[in-house]
Amino acid sequence: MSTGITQNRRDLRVSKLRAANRRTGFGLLAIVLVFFFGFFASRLVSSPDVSIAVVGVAVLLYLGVAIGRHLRR
Amino acid sequence: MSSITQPIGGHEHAHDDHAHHPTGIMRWVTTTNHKDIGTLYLWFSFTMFIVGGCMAFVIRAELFEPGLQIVTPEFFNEMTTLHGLIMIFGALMPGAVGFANWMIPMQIGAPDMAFARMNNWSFWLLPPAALMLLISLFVPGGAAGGGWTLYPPLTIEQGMGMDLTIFAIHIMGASSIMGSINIITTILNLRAPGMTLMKMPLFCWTWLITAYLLIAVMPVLAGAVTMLLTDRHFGTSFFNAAGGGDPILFQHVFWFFGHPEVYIIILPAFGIISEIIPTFSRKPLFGYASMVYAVAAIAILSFMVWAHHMFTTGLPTAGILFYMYATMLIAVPTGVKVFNWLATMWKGSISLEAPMMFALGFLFLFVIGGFTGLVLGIVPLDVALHDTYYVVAHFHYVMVAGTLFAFFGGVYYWLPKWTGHMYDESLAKWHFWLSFILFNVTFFPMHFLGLAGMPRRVPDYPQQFADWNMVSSIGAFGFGLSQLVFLYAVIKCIRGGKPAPAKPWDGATSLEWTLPSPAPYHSFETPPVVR
Amino acid sequence: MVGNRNGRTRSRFRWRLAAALGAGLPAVPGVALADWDWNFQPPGSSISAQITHLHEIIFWICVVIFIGVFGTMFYALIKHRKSVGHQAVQFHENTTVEVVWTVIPLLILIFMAWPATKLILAMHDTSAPGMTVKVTGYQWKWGYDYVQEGFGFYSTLSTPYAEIRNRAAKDPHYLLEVDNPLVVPVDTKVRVLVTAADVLHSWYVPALGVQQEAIPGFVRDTWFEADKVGIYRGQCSKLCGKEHAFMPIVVEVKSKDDYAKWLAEQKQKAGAAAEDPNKVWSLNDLLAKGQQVFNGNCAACHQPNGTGNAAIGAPALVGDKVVLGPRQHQIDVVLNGQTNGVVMTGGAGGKMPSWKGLSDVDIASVISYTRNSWGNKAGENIVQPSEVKAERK
Repeated sequence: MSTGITQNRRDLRVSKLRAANRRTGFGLLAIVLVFFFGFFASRLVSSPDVSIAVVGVAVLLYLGVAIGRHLRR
Repeated sequence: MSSITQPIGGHEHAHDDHAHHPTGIMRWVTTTNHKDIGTLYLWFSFTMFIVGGCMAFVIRAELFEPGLQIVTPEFFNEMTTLHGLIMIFGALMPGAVGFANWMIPMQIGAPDMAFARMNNWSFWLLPPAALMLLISLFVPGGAAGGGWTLYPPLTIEQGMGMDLTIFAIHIMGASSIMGSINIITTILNLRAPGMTLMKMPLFCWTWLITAYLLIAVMPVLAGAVTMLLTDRHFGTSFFNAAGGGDPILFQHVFWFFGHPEVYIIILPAFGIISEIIPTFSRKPLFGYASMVYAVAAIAILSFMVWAHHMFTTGLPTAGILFYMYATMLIAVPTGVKVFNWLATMWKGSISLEAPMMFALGFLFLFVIGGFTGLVLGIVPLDVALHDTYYVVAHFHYVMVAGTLFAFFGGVYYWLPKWTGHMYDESLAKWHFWLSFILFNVTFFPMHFLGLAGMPRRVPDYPQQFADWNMVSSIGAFGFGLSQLVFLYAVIKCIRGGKPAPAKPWDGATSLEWTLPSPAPYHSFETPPVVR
Repeated sequence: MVGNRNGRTRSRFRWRLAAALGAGLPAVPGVALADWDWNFQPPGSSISAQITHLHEIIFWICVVIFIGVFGTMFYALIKHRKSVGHQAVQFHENTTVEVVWTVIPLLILIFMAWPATKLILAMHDTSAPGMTVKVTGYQWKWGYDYVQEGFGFYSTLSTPYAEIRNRAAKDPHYLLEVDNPLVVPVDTKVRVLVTAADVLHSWYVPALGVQQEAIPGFVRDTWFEADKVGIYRGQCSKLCGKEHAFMPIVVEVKSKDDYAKWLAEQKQKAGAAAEDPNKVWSLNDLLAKGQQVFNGNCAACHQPNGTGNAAIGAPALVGDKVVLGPRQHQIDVVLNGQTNGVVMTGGAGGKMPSWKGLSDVDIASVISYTRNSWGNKAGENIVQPSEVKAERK
């Protein structure tokens, strides 16, 4: 039976990992969609200067947060 | 940098379902194995490199001497456009993803990529996209002929080849985004116990940051070409001046993607070089942390300099000054990287196998490309040199002598691990020297042409540019042909050769060298413990 | 630059040479022909002289750094080789060194940025020009309008097709010759207004230190001041379609006296075509002339049938208040332009541009034309050139 327990534990670990992967993946996908549609939205809302500034700030914030988070670890 | 206490190669085949994988062509179509997919990516990249290279042959043949000899101006424009698109989206980017697929799981001690099926999908999107680009040559009106930058209004006027190009870019963009999500997730979630981020090989670091860049800019490119598409067919006027749009807006958006794209292409190359140089200097990488910070700094700065591609469009003076200063600032982190590589070699115990030769060739020529980049970043000089052959010389020094040479170095470096055989060192050396010399014969004269004022993307030119163009063409034919040496060397290595030990390079330290050569189909199914 | 020679013989020579050498050798064809230009063209203006100078400074700084960096690298490659028995020293960090090689490049960059900034400010100062020329890029020719003098012309490639197709010997100025060059006086600040009619083009004359993208729907300005009499040649530098390589720019710089003579000649030519502004015109003559002017200048936005284009803010002229109202107001609008209170990112910047550049006869006739066409029947249905002249002041 002991192998069965290890098996279960391994399955649990694998499914946890899969869930974590999915979370990360969907998080990143959400960013992609926000950039894609946000880009159109910002273009339709206002003048080019404003829209490019909005997209620019969004990207910089994203990069700052995304890269900054990992630097500490 | 990381000492490994429990180097376990996974020969155990815990998941039996993988043991019955299909054979023949179906093995490659259905594979979810990161090594198979890495191989697919690399072969696809090389195929596209040859296709794009053939287009360069056409270009250089037409430019061999003044006058129109071989092709029509329209077809010439289609060649320059497709050469650019295919080399960037077909050869360089997939090549980098190929390396990532092969090496990242093995370098961080993961069994595979996080999303194995998506990995298969993101590769198999590429061949149809490439096919669409090639088919566009044969549709009425021909392929897109507005340059790889696709500037409207010219690209709004063109035939359905342009639509195919737009769709191809959409598909390749989707593939890149999926690949990036996969790579980020793999690196963040699947590292072996003890493999902290700051212990990862630098190649993984550069790819992590590259993947973030891709996720940020690929949707923007997709948005820009979608707008182009709606301008073409649905009566919108985002960029169409005749309908009240702003053609310059496209340039802003395109380069907002395009400049980070430059770093997307070069950062993985930095990573490969940062693996090779310490190995063959038998010394740890100098300033690991500052290398990571430099890559991050380059990534962030890359979003603030896009308008330096547009200095002659008539931006406001204050804007121009800002973009010039920001552009010049990139020289600092780039310089830090070069100095760190030098310091890594300093007082090492250097040997000059083929990967190291390519790394040194990379360093030498990339620095030239960096300097010409600095020259182009200085606005008054850009006014004299913008859209001339100087620019062509500059980006080929960065893309070809930079990224491509790093890829060659990477291939020779890891071929023993991939195939289990040592490559033929003297063939590789021949490949290096032919490439190095002929590259310079091809592209160095382009600096002179640009300084003398020859515009780029012209099928014909005035007589004072004749001589350097001929030199350049001869160099290009030679450079292209010498890549056959590479193909031969790789095939020879795959088919046989001296068996490679697990760690053929005595200076190598990262995790992949703890696996036997060739690397087993399934590796690190039980994660190694890194201390 | 380029000597006279038989292009055809040379071309055959090239092919034979290439065939003989095959790929690989950096051949030196035609050394005797001396086309090995490898640096900037000789400067023809103080700006381009400064550009050349700035390039020299930066080039030599780069060379020095390059030698320093790769001198170090080759020293390491030679002395710290495994094959000479060098043992690796396992250092991998040194904060002082890292700070030094971050700060020193920064200082060098500031040193480079300073003269560059000064030059940029000079290049962007388009104030107080001696004259103004409007340059319009077309697929595939250039249009030059002498805005203050009220005339203009097109400038197209004059190289014969046979030369391009290698059926005739190439002229020394192959692909760099035009029918009507832009003519400007020496030592005069020439402001250049650059725009385009269809796609992007770029007005690039290296020896004068100018390159300005021509953008349809937008007018950008730049300037140059040639300090030597002579002919300066350049090419369109922005990919604009199949004939991109075949729309050169030729600027002929004349002495001030010669320029004045040339100008008088041109004005006379234009005047001969334009007629006396004080003459009283008949309605039919005005309408005939007006239709030409309208189709050449106004129809792009207001449409040939006067229905306008709402998408770019160009109103329909059929039944338009201004067209049917007092003629003096319409003269004012055409001369000085008008913003409709709405700013649109339209073809002409969302507004009626000023048409001061047209002659009095042109404006009078086109206004008369709008007042009598497409069913319009204005009360004041005729405008004479003299009225436009009076309104101009």
